[in-house]
Amino acid sequence: MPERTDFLKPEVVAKLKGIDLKARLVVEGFLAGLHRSPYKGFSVEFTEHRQYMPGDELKRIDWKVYAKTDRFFIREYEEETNLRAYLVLDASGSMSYTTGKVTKLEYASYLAASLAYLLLHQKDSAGLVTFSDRIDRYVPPRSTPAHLNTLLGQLARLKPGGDTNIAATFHQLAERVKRRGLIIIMSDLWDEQTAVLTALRHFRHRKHEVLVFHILDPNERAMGFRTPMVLKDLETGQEVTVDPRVIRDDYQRGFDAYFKEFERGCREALIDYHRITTDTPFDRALFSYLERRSRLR
Amino acid sequence: MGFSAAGLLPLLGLAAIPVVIHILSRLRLRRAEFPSLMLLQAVRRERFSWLRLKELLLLVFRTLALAGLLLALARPYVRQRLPGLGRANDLILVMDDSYSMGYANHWQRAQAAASGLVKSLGPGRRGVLLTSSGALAATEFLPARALALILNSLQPSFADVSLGRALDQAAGLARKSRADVVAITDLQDRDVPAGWKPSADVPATLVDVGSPGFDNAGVARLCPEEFFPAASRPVRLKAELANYGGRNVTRTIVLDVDGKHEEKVVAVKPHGRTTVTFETVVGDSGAHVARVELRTDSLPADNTRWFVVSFPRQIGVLVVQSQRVPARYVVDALGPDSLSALKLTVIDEAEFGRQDPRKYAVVVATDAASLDRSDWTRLDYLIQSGGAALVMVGALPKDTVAMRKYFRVAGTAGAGGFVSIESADTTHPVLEILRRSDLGASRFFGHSRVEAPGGRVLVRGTDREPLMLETAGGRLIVWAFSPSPEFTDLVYKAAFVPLLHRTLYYLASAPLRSEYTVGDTIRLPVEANGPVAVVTPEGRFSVMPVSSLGRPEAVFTDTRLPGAYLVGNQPVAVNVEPDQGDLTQSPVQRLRDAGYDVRTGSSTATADLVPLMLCLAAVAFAVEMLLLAV
Repeated sequence: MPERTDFLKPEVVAKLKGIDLKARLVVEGFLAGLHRSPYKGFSVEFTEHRQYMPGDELKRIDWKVYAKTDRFFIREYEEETNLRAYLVLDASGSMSYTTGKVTKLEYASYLAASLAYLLLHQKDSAGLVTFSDRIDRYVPPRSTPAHLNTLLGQLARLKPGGDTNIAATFHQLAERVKRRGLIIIMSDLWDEQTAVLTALRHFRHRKHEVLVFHILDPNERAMGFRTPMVLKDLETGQEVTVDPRVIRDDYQRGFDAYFKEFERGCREALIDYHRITTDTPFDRALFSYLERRSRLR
Repeated sequence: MGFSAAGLLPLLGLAAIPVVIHILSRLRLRRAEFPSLMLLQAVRRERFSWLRLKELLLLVFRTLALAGLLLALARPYVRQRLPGLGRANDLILVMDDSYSMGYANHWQRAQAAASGLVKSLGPGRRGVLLTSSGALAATEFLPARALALILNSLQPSFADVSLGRALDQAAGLARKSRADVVAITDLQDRDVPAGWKPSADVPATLVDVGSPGFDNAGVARLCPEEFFPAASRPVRLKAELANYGGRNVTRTIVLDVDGKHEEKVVAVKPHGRTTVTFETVVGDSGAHVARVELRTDSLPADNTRWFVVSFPRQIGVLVVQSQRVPARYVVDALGPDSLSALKLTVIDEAEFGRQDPRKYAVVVATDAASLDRSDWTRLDYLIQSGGAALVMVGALPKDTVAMRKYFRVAGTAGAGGFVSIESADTTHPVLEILRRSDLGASRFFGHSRVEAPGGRVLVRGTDREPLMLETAGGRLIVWAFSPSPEFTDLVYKAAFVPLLHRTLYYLASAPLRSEYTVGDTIRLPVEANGPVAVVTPEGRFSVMPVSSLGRPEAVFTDTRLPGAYLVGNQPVAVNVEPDQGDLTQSPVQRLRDAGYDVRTGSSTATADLVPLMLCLAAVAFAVEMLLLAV
């Protein structure tokens, strides 16, 4: 019988049926782990007590205060301003890559579903954008519980394919989203680096908060092939012959430099950047979101 | 550069294995998908040229390593100059051209070594080229260019020769002029003269172009199993195969008689001999050439052997005996043998008058003393008419007037004791197969003193008197004794049988010898005095018979090539000396101890390149390992 925290592991989640179940178990497993966390009661914040006025609902009377003071006080909660979060999901061909149980796209989908679940339970609005070389789907953010089904339905039907044009897509999206919100990007970011960073800065320019989940397969850095082989680009179909034993070190150096540049660029633009691999438990990503969310309060 | 084991050279193709594997591996590379080649291509672009270069270098060095090993297997050698020879002095070059030099590439190596020496002759230096077969016996020093031309025209001979004669000649020349003596040889044990030692004033250098490990088989002998084979009856021919090498060999041997082929596969143990028997039927009488050939062998010269199977026509022999000397021992020696060509008719001397001797090819008179004048006259008539006679004069004949033109009996000798044989003319066809010792033990208790002016003494006794002589142009042979223990114990000796057979065959003009060795002089009795056609493997020519030593004989010496020769209508076989195929080398140390300067030309050259190839392979392998580690 799996523990609830097992549902934070991608390989366990992948075995579950239905993305709604996956999202629910991930979030509940995550929340179970947060039992004594400082994030308790984040959804609706207490602000003050006021005297009972006729017409107030009786259920809002604070009976504990009445017991102490013999007066009726009503608990006043300040409901937070609705956060408009956009879950931006890369569904290009390169996202179909896997060397384990889940593809990058599946991982991103589960993560997006979990975040949608979490957002909507916080009464925030969650929208969904999927893209490859252009925006494929755009689901505007809403905060109704029924919207969760819409989002999960979209995520469940997601298929990888097509080329990537991240920068152009981001620019397009930045222009399209008028109200400032939280842009949560889940992508492998395989595109021209400078252009991608420029596009991310475009979101910041539009006053959006940006959270980037850079999703990669572990083998993308490790280059774990042992013999010379022909590698085929999942998006362009281009093939190259490589001897991994010979180029592995250089490749990994180049890889690290490439992602350091992403980190540096994001840091400078005050963008949260998280590189996660498809074997990373989901709680790490959810924590990242919550940290960001807490700063937005 | 040459190769001692050139047969292994095709293995060099295996050096292409790395290239083939490289190509195949490129064709059969595993394919995999990858999210993006963006970074990979950038890295690959940086590493591309080095990688390609490294890959290429790996391939080259791997191929080189393998090629080096495979080349070493083929035992390469270089044609080295022999430093110091022919530079300061003139050069006397002795080429061992015995047929063993035809083994594998020995001759090419010898020519290359000789050519190198000739080319390295110092300015103004000249040289002489001699061969062990005597084919070249020049005594004139020639410039390098002329020597090179002669050298190119040389081929191994088929003669069984020794270097001794050529080294003697070279030493003689060297003493007259300041010259280096160099013999290029396969150091075959039988060729290098054990007794010949270079002197201090004429040092000799032997350049070894032989192979310490060789693999050669040859046909050592071919002959019929029966001494007197008969036509129309199965004839069993025995071929003896010799394996001179140190490994088991299996060969196919083919017999060819009158166009009929028969072949067998034979295995011969190392240093062993095996006899193969073929059974064939030859329909006609007369002489037939049989030829056996061994297929697929490294030394071709000793692979073929010829033999003339003779089924002589009937030779009628009339034996005239007396009471004192019966024909018993003659008849015992000549027959009865249904397969023999000799058909004997034995009569008493009294009956001789009633016989026509011209019906017989030869008349044998066992006791000349029993013949009367008329008998001698008839014998003379027989000789005049082309017949022949063997007259045995144990006791003084009554009357030899009719025969005086052929021989004279001066009396008797040896009374009271005995004489034995002092000398025998073994150059005579009758005696040439007999050794001195075969006859030497015979004792003659009484013999007549026979003289034959113009005749040829074949055997002389210890009393200096002739015991056998030939006269009447080879148509009359006179024995100074009769075939009886009263006169001699020769009749008890083994040599008596062949002696009598050969004498009768000789007198009957039957061929006495049909097998010769290359270089031998062929002498065959012929009937006519006119030119005799001779067909040899080289062509056709005519010889004039020589008759100074008796009856006419066709004599010729040009037997350079082995094969079947035809003299008139009589075939003869000329074969190589089989043991020349034994390529066992003289131990180098023994030769050095004898005073030869042995330059192990071939082995040094071989040894020179084998380690070089192994080093090359090792270096290539080491570089490959280094490249892999980088």
